[in-house]
Amino acid sequence: MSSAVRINSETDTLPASAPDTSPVSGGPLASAPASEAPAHRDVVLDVRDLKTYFFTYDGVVKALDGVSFKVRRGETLGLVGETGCGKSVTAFSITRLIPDPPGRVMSGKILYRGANLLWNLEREATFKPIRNTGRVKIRRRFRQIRAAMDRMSAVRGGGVSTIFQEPTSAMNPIFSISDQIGEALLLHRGMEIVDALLNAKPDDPAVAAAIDHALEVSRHGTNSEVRAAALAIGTAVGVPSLGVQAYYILREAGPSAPESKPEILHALRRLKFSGLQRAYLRRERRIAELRKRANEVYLTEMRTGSPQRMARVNLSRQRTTANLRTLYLSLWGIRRHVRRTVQNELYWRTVATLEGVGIGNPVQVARGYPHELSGGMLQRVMIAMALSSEPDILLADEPTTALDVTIQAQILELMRDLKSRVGTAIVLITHDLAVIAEVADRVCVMYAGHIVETAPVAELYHRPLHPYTQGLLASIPRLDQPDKELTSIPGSVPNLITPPTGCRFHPRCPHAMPVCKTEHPPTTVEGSGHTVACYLYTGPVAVE
Amino acid sequence: MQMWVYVVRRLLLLIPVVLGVMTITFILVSGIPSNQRCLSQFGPPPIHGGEQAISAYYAHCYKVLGLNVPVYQQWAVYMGNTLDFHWGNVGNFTAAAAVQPFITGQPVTTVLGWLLPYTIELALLSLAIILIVAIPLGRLAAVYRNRPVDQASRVMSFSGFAIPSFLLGSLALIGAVLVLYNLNLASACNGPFNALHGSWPAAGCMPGSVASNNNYPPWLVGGIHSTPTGFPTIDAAIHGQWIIAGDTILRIIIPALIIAYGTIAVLLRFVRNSMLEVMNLDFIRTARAKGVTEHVVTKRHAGRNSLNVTITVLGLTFAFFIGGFPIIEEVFGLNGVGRALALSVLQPYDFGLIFGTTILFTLIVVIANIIVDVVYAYLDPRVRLG
Amino acid sequence: MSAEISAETAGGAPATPEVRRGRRPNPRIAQMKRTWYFLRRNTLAMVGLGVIIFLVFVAIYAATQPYPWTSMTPYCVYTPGSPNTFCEGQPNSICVYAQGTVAPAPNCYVTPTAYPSFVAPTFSLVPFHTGPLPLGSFVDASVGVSGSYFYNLYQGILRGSDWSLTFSFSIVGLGASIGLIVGAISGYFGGVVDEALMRFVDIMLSIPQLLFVLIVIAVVSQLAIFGDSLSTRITFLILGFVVVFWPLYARIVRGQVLVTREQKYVEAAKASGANSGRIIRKHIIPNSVYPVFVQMSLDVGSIPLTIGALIFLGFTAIFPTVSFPEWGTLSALSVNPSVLTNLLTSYELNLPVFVPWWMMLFPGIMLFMFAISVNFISDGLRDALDPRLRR
Repeated sequence: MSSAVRINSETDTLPASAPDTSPVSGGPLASAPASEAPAHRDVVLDVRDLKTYFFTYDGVVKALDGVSFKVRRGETLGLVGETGCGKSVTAFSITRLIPDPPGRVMSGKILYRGANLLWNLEREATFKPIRNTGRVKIRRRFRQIRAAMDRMSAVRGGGVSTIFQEPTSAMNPIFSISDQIGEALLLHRGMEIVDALLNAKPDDPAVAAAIDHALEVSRHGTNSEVRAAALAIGTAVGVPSLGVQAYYILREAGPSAPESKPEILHALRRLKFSGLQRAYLRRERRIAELRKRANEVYLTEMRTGSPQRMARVNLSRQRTTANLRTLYLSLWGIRRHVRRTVQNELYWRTVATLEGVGIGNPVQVARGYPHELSGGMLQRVMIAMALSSEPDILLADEPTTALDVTIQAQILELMRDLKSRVGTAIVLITHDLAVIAEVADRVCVMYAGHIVETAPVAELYHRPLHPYTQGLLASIPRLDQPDKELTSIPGSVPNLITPPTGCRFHPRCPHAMPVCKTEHPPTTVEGSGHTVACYLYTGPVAVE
Repeated sequence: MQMWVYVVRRLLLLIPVVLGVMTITFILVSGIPSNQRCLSQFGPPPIHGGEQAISAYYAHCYKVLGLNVPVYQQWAVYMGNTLDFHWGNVGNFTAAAAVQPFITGQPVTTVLGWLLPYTIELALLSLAIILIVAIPLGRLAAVYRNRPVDQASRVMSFSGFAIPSFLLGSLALIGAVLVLYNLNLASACNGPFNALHGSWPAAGCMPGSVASNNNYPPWLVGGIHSTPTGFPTIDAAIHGQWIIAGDTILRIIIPALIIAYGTIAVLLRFVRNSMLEVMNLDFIRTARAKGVTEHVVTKRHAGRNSLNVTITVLGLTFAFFIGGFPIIEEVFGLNGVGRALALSVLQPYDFGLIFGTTILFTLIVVIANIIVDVVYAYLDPRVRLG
Repeated sequence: MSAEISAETAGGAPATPEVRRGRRPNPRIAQMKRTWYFLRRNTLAMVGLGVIIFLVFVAIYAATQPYPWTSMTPYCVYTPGSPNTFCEGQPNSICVYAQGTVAPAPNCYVTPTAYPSFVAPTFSLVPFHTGPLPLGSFVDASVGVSGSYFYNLYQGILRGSDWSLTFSFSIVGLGASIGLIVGAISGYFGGVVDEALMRFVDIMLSIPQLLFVLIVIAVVSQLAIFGDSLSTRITFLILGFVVVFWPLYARIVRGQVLVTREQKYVEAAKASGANSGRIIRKHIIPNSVYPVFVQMSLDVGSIPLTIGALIFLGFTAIFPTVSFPEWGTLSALSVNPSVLTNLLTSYELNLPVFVPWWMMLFPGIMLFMFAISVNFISDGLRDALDPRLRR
């Protein structure tokens, strides 16, 4: 109909993979910062025309009806909208966490590192609308759905991780914090952890020297000096978490720190492995390695769309063999010792991670349970858990909505800090424009299941194009205009079962034109990085 | 709070419940007219001797049974005796005594001590079957909701609920008898095999009947009481009689299966529903978002959380057990406390046994509930806060 | 595909109430309609409902039969050579010869129109008859079990429907009502009242159900003050069960009320000045009732089973001389221990054995149908009322 310029689709490039070994100081969250300019970075996530419907008793809720956006490496994309516009649904659709009986991702493409996360969508379910009721009968093919979920587990956590809105209910109440973060660590960095354990050199003379040096420093050094010295022990051994443990031993001891050599040596002793124990460790490493290879096969399948059956079968056979060997052909005592060691390692790595998110007493927190912590702390823990696996993208689903304002400020500060330190791309979903202004680089404004405007942050606030965005910004009370009347957008959010035809905003839009009722407006580019979906900007259009 | 503090608190709550139960039993039983009680203890009043003999009989009876004092004093005496474990004696003229002559006149606590191991063996076997079947099946039914597994488990649980256990037991017994006898696999009442667990098939080999054979092994006294441990299977093993030990277990397999079927019917629904509830909680979504595979999510994250409710229900099914035991034991002729209860309510009633079994069953239920609560607190750290 | 769906559903009837004209429907009625819709979609629940309705019709039909059920005219099987004082001189009895020929024996009359009542069993250890009993015509022949008691199976099952349904629904209805009231009061007022009532409920729930029913009925029936007619015995039976069943409902309701009383509408009602009675009646009870429905439908099925279990244990306190043909009773009597003993002894002695499987099976099948249909309905109700299943 119109000859509007659509968004050019950039070619998908594979960004360089995240670094495999984490630097020693500060734990896994202190990677090298990203440094390139925003506009020319590689695209990490490319969502194209995503449609998600919910099939309920009252009808089909068309929660997302064609959502497209891109996320580049290292940038923070804000996804703004009112309650019920589909922001959380977008995030969950990306990782396919939509609860399947009512909801279903209908169509679209989600390209992550070149792999289409919706690669097998058409084969997963068939639909048959029931006449005259507005309900739809769905027949699901469970094997395909299960296969899809298996593939997704290769991407979730390590590639795309999520933090949720209600931290108090999002953690498993019966496992301690270190168990839960340790699980994430083991899943995604298992090989590296076991490698570090295997290559530990507790008998190296440099270690003894480092210990003595640290004890010396603890006599009269500042906190950071002691910390640096303790971490140096870890570097000498080759196992960074030992440095963290040494630091906390010294801190615990307080004034008698110089006499804590026995404790440090005791901690060192757990790193000495007999030959048999090494064999067990190598088995654990093998299992982790097989898991990683299986994930890569899954990614290949999603990328190429062709099932890599032989590779999968081969890997699954190897994994089963490895698991059975560990289960049945192992001496319980030795296996327990190895597991304990690994758990200890995970515990101290958790402590390091918790330090990285700014928790003051990480040792107690790591040992505690979720119900013992407040909402703000739990949100930090969740962030730690999500970032511990060094994902490419972090989906933050209204992370601060459930917290009060002061905690909100702290969390946002933390996220800004992590952004500059770690360089993960963040998709920040919120309804609060102020939060967006603080943290985001680019913003997508959503309304009723569509993205109506996308722009860099400053541009959006200075030059909002879509009437909805303009309405939103105009309704913010201004301190510098005390006599200005408070405006609001008239009308209310539409019912997504029977949404308005055409542009879904037209019933409330002050500039509505007859053409707005007919078809959803195409997205047009209105400046660098600024796109909008509105007929006001598409040029003259013939009305039929 | 600490674990042991929690345990002590729960134990303290046990006391009022037990006292209350004893009081209720007392109230109920004291509603029974005293001539009934005299009848079961001392037999019918004398026919000859006229008025004098009858009044002497009743005077003697009231004195022995303590019925000639006001009710509240009777209650006090009763409570004192019960807490002292003086639960009276089995009557001499009651139906229970008629069927199992060995227990006539013995103190109720002793008799229950003889009979309890049989019931415990049956209960343990049933419990093993239930745990092995119900928990994995319930979880499967929840994970594969509304698929064939779920429908099949639904049918199984409904049918287990709808068939009366006495009918199922009787039909199973008759069927087993017909099958085994026609295949010449079961010896009847000859040989040592019938001596244990009362008899099998039920009651056909009662002492005094035409085909019974009273040659019990020396460590089995009167067909009921075995030395040294009281558990017939263990004692047979101790004495080296492996065939008898094996036969003992064979005798309780069919009853155990029937009890397990009825209990699984209830437990399966609860396991499934609790698992479904847990799978809808938020932290499951977080676990998935972390990249944990579905299998591990079900087993580790959902499983441990749903175990809480399952254990509670397991404790509750003790009540179910105890209700079902009288019937099954009666059908299969096993010498357990359930059968004692069943016999004690035949005319003439045996009040000692009624009291004794009621209090015993209640104690078992209450202690089972406490164990359940303690295990619950161990599994779920939130409960320990109070 | 999705375009198709959009087109279809956009043209479908709008389902939300805001769009309809006229008054908004009462939300409670809307909830009931929604529950009914889900129940309708559940095949098993519909089958169960159908069966229950069928049984109700059977009960109504049985009630219309001309049948003086309190009369004691027995069927006798006259075994030549055995003293059968039961039959001798009894008017209105049909006597059947053991070998299968039906012939009027001396002093017995043949009255095809008078259907005999169900006779109370007197247990005896008489061995089985040799040879099967004649079935005769389905409606008026006797099919017996042992030398002690007989009844017409067909009539028994017909009337059993009446008895079973009456017992089940009345016991559960009464128990649930009492439990509802007690639980609501206990939960709403809290404090000492709550503690005391819940301790009491705990105590009553600790005693195993079967045991408790047994003792209560035994004791109550010993009190001869109410006379000894069938209706008093039925009343004792029902009351005994109600006493045992209500604590469970009280506990369930209390749990629900604890949640309901924290809701905002209760607070609003209090602020408007409603007194406690009104709040309990109008707000608390209607919103706490759903788990009670589920539990009720579970219990209804188990009552005939429990009655049967009681009778199986030989608990004849309820039925000394007069009885009623309830299914649980019928199936229990057909497999009572003495019958089993006879069966097995006959096997021992290599006597020909007569297993009247139809006596055992058919009441059991009816019982099974009743219990399982009620269970289907209860499961359907639970799925339909579950707020967590997002539909």
